[in-house]
Order: sequence, then structure tokens, then C-alpha cells
Amino acid sequence: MKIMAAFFMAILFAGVCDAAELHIGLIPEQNVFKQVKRYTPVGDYLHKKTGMKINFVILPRYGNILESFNEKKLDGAFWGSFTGALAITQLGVEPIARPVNPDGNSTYKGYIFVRKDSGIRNIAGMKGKSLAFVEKATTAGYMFPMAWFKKHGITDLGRYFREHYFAGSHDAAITAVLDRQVDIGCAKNTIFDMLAQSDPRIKSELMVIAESSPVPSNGLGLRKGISTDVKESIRKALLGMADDPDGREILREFRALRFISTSKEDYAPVFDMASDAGIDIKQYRYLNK
Amino acid sequence: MKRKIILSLCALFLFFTTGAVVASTYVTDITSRLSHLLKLHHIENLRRELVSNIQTVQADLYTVYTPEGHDMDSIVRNMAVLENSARQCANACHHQPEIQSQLKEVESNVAEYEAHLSYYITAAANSDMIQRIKSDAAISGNRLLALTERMSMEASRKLGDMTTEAMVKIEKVRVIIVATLIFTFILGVWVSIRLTVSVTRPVGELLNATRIIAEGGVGHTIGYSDNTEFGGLASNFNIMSKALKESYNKLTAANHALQLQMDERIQAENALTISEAFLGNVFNSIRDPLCIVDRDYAIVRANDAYARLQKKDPPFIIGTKCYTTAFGKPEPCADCIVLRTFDTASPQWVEKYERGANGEDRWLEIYTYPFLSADGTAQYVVKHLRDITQRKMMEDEVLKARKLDSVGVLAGGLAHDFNNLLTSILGNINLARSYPSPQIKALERLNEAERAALRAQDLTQQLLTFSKGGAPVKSASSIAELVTETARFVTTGSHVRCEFDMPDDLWTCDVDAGQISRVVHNIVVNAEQAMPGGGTIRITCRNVVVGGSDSVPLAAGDYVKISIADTGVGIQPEMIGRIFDPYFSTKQKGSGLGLAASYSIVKKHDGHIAVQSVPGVGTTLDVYLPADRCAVTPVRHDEIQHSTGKGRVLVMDDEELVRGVAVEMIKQLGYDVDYATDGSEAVERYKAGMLGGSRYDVVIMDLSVPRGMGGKDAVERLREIDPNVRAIVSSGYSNDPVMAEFGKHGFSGVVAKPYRILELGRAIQRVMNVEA
Repeated sequence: MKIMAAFFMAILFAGVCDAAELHIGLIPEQNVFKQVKRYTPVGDYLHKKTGMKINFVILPRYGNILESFNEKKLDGAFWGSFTGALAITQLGVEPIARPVNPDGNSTYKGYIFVRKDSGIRNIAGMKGKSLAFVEKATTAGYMFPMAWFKKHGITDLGRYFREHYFAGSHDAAITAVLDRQVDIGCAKNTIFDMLAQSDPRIKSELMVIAESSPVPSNGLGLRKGISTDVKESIRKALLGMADDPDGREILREFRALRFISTSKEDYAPVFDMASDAGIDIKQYRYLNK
Repeated sequence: MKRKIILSLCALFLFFTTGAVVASTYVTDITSRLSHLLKLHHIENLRRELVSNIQTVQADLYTVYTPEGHDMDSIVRNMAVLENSARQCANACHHQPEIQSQLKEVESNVAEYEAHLSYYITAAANSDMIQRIKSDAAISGNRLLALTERMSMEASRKLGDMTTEAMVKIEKVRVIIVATLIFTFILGVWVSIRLTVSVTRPVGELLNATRIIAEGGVGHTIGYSDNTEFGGLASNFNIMSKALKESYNKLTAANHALQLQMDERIQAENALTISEAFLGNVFNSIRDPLCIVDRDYAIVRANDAYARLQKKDPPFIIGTKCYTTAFGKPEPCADCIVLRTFDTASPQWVEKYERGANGEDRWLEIYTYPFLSADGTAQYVVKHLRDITQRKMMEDEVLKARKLDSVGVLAGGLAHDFNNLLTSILGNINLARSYPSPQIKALERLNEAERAALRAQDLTQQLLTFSKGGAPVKSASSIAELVTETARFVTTGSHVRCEFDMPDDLWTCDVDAGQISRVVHNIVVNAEQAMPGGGTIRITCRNVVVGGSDSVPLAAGDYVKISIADTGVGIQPEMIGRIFDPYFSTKQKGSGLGLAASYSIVKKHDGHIAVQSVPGVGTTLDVYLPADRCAVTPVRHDEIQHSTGKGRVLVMDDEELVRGVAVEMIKQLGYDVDYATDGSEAVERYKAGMLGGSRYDVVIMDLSVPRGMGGKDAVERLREIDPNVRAIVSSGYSNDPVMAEFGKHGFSGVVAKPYRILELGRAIQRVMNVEA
């Protein structure tokens, strides 16, 4: 049995080491088409610097994202903070790097927001209203609101809210509230602020009821089995982008100042928040329905 | 005319250019429209592609999560393609605000469609909500599809309108180009006809006028006139024609005068040709060689005789250098007579012994005459040559003969007296030896004295051949026999041998056998002495016929040629000319008289003797003797016995010594003998003997008696007394004609002084045997 396991590990390791292409998943934190367009220049840059072609794949929210990762035999993904913590804990993924936002932070926060004209101003006002999460494996779009609701004594969502569902992406949740498709929305502040720049209605018509403490922004994590050399070359390329004129231009379009190295310890706030939300990350199994 | 041509061409060019510019403008406009059409077609294709992509995404949307459908990734991929198509549509050039607005609407719809699709892809809610979201996406897609299809239809309609408009423009351009070409052609033809007529008409008139002038109509003018260049040309032509007529008249007069001069010149040339031919004939008819030489020594003319002398054809002589042609020399001769003539401008003369270019040695007598030019200098030299080789040889022969004559005069006198003395000496020696019981020593001295006397006698005979008294006593002789016997006699016991080459039909010669034998004797002795180490003497005899022009100085006729060749030391060239001189000898013990005497003997036989010698190779002497082609009377060299006889003999000699010896010899011979001191006494004694009954059987008379009657007169008197008298003539002048032809002068025999008793006895015996 040990011999068989060693044999399969050797095949897997050899396959990763020799791969000239990395399949990287993208979490649909916003419109998947915009997401692909945003990350494609970064993938091309990594191809140019490391020689490895980066193939981006959208990880759909429907179903379990970790299962989708395994089904699609991906080598890594730009994880959200919650999915990153899950992947680190359950899949052994190693965090490589994460971007620094234009405001100088490399973290984001979770928002719970409503339309200003909805009359909802607190948790009490939310009773009997409809609610749009992003998906169950997001910090801002699920874990933070769940912790916040739990903090305010709400444990049975079905009874407190008229309706709740998972929009699948942060911008979808924002757009749903803005378009009055739902009353309450959850999303990360970075997407909220980014959309607000192109759509002034977001600032003028929406209002944030609650916000979380900061958690690490979406960063790249590569699965175990990827060789250290590959991981280091990818890390080196991403960290060096800010020192390269071409890299700086791509970072500007990406709306980040630079990439910084990240580690498992950076995800401690996520684990704390999960605890608050009553989620055991090690055992967490979910299905977006 | 030039202005007319320029204006016509300018009009043609202007018309054509206008048509070309209009056509070009239309072509430019059409090109722009077609280019725009092509671009619109491209945009239309993009639009159709966009429609197709929207339809693909819509199909994916409707069929996702069904067995026939694709997964969400397919929607994502196809949406990326759709967005790219939309971007290309938007980037295509659209200037019309309406189109720009529609494109913005398309972009907005695409973004909306994307948002709905993304929402549908990422949303996780109950099925009603999912269906609602999907429906929203489908509606958004259909709206986008409808918008793009509507735009496409409008664009297709506009595209058709623009294509129709472009085709109308193209037809217009075609009409303009065709019309321009047709009108340009018509205008060009019209201009060409006008210009051709404008050019051909005056040119035709000018051509006609030149033809008339060429046919003799000098002075013809034309009536054409206008203000073009042709008008000016016609005017100038008329002026030129008039001037030509005047010149023609002058030229005709000059030509007539020239024709007269040419006739005179032709006559003069004909006369000159005749004169030249006459002079050429005269030149060539001169038998002496003549040539004319210029200052460069080149032969400018030579007559046939000159060519014959050089043994070349006349054409090959002209232009050659005279010193090369005549003497084979590379440069002018030393003391050149031609140069002297040019320098002195006066006639010159020279005799030259030269080797000619053909290798023959010859004597030439050369006369040169200057051909003086007007300034008195010699321009050419006329060279007159005469081959005098034959004459020179004759002169040499004469010179030799004169030498021999002068020697002969002296030798004859000496020999006569010397012979008388030798007769006495030999007689006394003979008598002394004949006395009984002479002492042995005295007998040896007498024999020695006799041998010395005989050598002296031989020498005397040689001398006598130079004198007038040496005339040959000729008789028909076999030269072959004579030569063979003499040569063998000379070479018997010698270390040389003789080879003979003689034809059987060798002619006979009328010669003095003794003299010719002496000639052969002398030559063979010389040949033998020239080969001290031994060798072969080759003796050849041939019948030869000598012509008048041969190099041999002989009269024409038949000759026998005797060639005696040795292989001895030869004779040096400078000595050859002197070997026939008396007392000239190359031998230490030679008398110098052998070849001189031989020469004299041969000349007296009207023959010729010549020598050829190459030092170290040998010498050949050729003797020519006149042949008579008669039958040979064999020379009988009988052995004449010394015999005595009986009879009465009368001896007449004025020399007491000779007379005394003769009397004693005759007594020794057994005859009764009387004597007389001159011819008169001899006649008286003979007459007395006849009258007294004691008739003399033989009378021996000296031919020459200085102070009395000689033998010649005495024998005539004796013949008068006794026609049967037997008289023997005796003389020291053996070459005296009487001695040679004693029969004609009444003698019956001859005996030359000095004689020995044997010879005297034979002479008496011969006449005693003749019938009285």
C-alpha cells in the first residue's frame, strides 16, 4: 500500500514539475467575464517571466468550490480569504502572494448593505426582508454576515428573513440590492468601492449597515505537490512586478499597488471570524443552494 | 508651319488631358467608394460574426445543464469571443453619429448581457430565482441579437445602395474614357490630315521641281507661296534654281574647255604610251645588260638582258637593291660606281671581277651614266654592264702566248746552237765508246757524259717547243693508245697506279704523237710527284663538242678531252694562274718548263689546256685536242733495229763539229760517206756523183746555213737534177715548218739535231727503203 502511494505521488510530482502550464482557478468575486479580463494580463505576465502558461478557469459557486477545484484538477487559485482558509486547511494549499489595494491595504472587509430608501437601518429592520449572500465560501459574502447575525441572536435565517439566496458574486449581490431584486445584500468592500466608481448610484442609493474587521485580500495559493522551484518562481515574478515597468502597468489595470508575500498566519482573522460564525473550517462542508 | 503644328498638338493634348483629368477624378472617387464598400463589407462580416456569436451564447444558455448542452465554461469562452466581435465592430471606422449611437447601444447591451450571464453562472438560489435570472439573461441576449440583426439589415441595405451608386459612377467613367478616346482619335486624324496636306503639297511641288531640274530643266521655279517655312523654302528654292542655272552655264563652258584639254591629254598619253613601248623595246633589244638605279640603290628599271644575266624574271628585279640582285651583298659595294656617279654627276667606268648572286665568277665591265635632273644633280644612274669573262680569258691566253713567244725567241736561238754542240758531244761520246778496248773507267765516264748530254738534249727539246722551230709534225693518232702507253710508261715501277676511262668510239686526233706524248708525260709526272705517299691517277678521255658560247676558249668544233686527275696536295689558288709560266715550279727540282712546254704544244695543236685544283683534294688537268674523226693509222712503234747499211751518203752541214761527227757515225753504220759545207757544194758533188757513175743514195742536209745555200734550196736544186733523190733534212729547229712538213719541200726523211747514231741509222734506213 505504501509502495502504491509512493508511486502515485511520484507520478503526480513528476507531472507537476514537468508541467509547462498551470491551471489557475478564479473565484467569481465579481462578474466572471470582468474577472477573467482583470486577471488575464497578470497570467500573461507570469507566462512571460516564468515560461509557464497560465490558464484561468472560473470556479462556479454552484456546488462546493473545493470539490470543483479537485474535479477540474487545478494547480492553484486566487482564493478569497475564506476559500483560502478552507483550501489551506482541507487541501494543504500553500499561500504564495496577495495584492496590495490602491489604498495601501492588502485586506478587505465585509459589508452588509441595503437601499437607503428601504427604511432598513439595523438588524431589526431586516426582519421579514429578503437577503442575498454571495456564497457560502466567502468571508464578506457569508461568514461575516452569518457571524453578525449570530451576534445579534439570529440563528434561523429561514424564519427571520422572508427569503435568502446566494448571488454567486459580490457585484451580483450589490446589483441585486441596487435593482431592488433583494432587500439586503452582503459583499466585500473592495468590489463595492470599485463598482461605486463606475456606478454613482451605489454610493447615493445604498447604505452600509455593518462592516467586518479586515481579512487578507484574495491571494494566489498553489496546491501541495507543486514543486518549490515553481512556487518560488511564481512568487518571485509576482513580487517583482512593482519593480518592472511592464509589471507596474499591469498592476495599475489590476487596480493594485503590488503583490506581497503571504502565509498561513495571515489568515488568522478568518479563522477567528469563522469561530464567531460557528463554522469549523477543518470540517466545513457546504453546498450553495 | 511650326506654329500650326504646335497649336494643333497643343489642342490635341489639351483635349486629351481634359478627358483624362475628368476620368481620373471619377476613378479616384470610385476607388474611394469601392474601398469604403470593401470596409463596410468587412464590418458587415464582423456584424454577422457578432450575431453568430450571440446566437451561440444564447444556445449555450438555453441548453446548459442539459444532456445536449455545454457547461458554464463554454458560455464563458463563447462570451469572450462575442465580446471580442463586439469590440472589433466598435473599433471599425464609423463616422456617422447614428451608427456610433447604435454601437454604443450594442456595447451597453453586451455589458448587460454579460452581467446577466455572470449572475446566472454564479448565482446559487432556488430554482425559481435561477430560472428568473436565466430568463433575464436570455431576454438580454435576445435584445442584443435583435439590435445587431437590425443594424446588420440596415447596413446591408446601405451597402447595396452604395454598391449601386458606385456601379453608376463606374459606368460614367467608362463613357467618359471612351468618349475621350473617340474624340481624341477624331481630332488627331483631323489634325494629321491637315498637317499632312500642309506638308505634302509644298513638298510635292518641290519634288516635282527638283525632278524637272534633274531632267535638265535647270532654272525651273515653283509657284507655291505662303507665310510658312515651306513658303520660305519655295522662295529660296527659286533663288537657288536661278543661281544653279548660272553656275550650270559656267560649268558647261568650263567642262567643254576641260574636255578639250582631256582630249589633248589622251592624245599625249597615247603618244607617250607608244613612245614608252618604243623605248621599252629599244631598252630590251639591247643585248648588253642595262638597269636604272635610284639614289637608294633600288633598281627602277632593267632590260631583259640584265634579267638574263641575273637569271631572274624582270618583275622580281624591279625594286630590289642593285648590290643584292647583282652580287648577293647586304650593302653597297666598296668603291661603288653608282655612288661615284651620283656624287660626280658624270659617267663612270670600271672593270670588276665579281662573284654574281647566282654564284658564278665573272668579269664585268660596267659603265654608268647619270640621269640628271633640272638642278644638275643625278636623279638616277643608268648602269650598263658587259660580261667580259670570255674576253678576259682570251686576253689571258694571249698574254700567256706572248710570254711563251718571248721565251721562245730566246730559247730557239740558244737551243739551235746548243743542239749543234750536243750533236758533236753525243757523237764524239758515241765514237769514243765505239773504239775497241776502251778503258773501263773511261767507258763509265763516257756513259755518264752521254746521260748528261741526253738530259741536256731533252731540255733543249723543251726549249725548242717555245721556239718557232717546234711546229708539230702531225699525223692521225689514236689518243687512247697514246695516252695509255705514255701514262703506263711513266708510272711503271712507281707507287701510283693509273685508272683509265675511255670510250671505245673515242675520236682520233691529228697530232704530233711525240709532242702529245710529252704533254701526257709531263702531266702524269706532276701527278705522280703530287702524291708522294702513293695513290691513283684517274685518266678520262671524252669526245666533246665545243660551241661558240662555251667558257672554254676554243673555236667551235669537235674535240677529245683528256682529263688527268690526281688526289694529291693540290695547288694554292694564287698559284694556279702561274703554273703555265716558263720557269715557274712548285717543286724544288723542277725545271719549270714541263707545263709551260705542254701548254705551248697544246696551243700549237689549236687545243686548250686548263687546270682545276683544290688544295688537299687534288688537281685535274683537262687537255682539249681537235678531233678529225678519221680512222686511226696505228702508230707503229716498231722495234727499229740498229742496223748498218751499204751505199753512198753525202752529208751537208756548215758546222764542222756536227759534220765531222755525222761523217764518223755514217761510216760506223757501214756507208761510204762524203761531205759538203753548204748546199751549193752538195749540189755540185751530187751532180758529179751522178755524172761519175757513183750516185749518192742518200743526201743529209742541214736546213739552215747562215752563209750559204741551206737545205731547203739545195733539195730543190737536187730535185731538178734528180727527181728521185733521197734527201733527209736535219735541223736543231725541230719546230721549223720544213721539219714538220718535210715531204712538201722535197725531202724524203727528217732527223732532228742532236741525234744519236741509232736515230741517224734509222733515218737513213727508212729513206733507203723508199723506192727511188
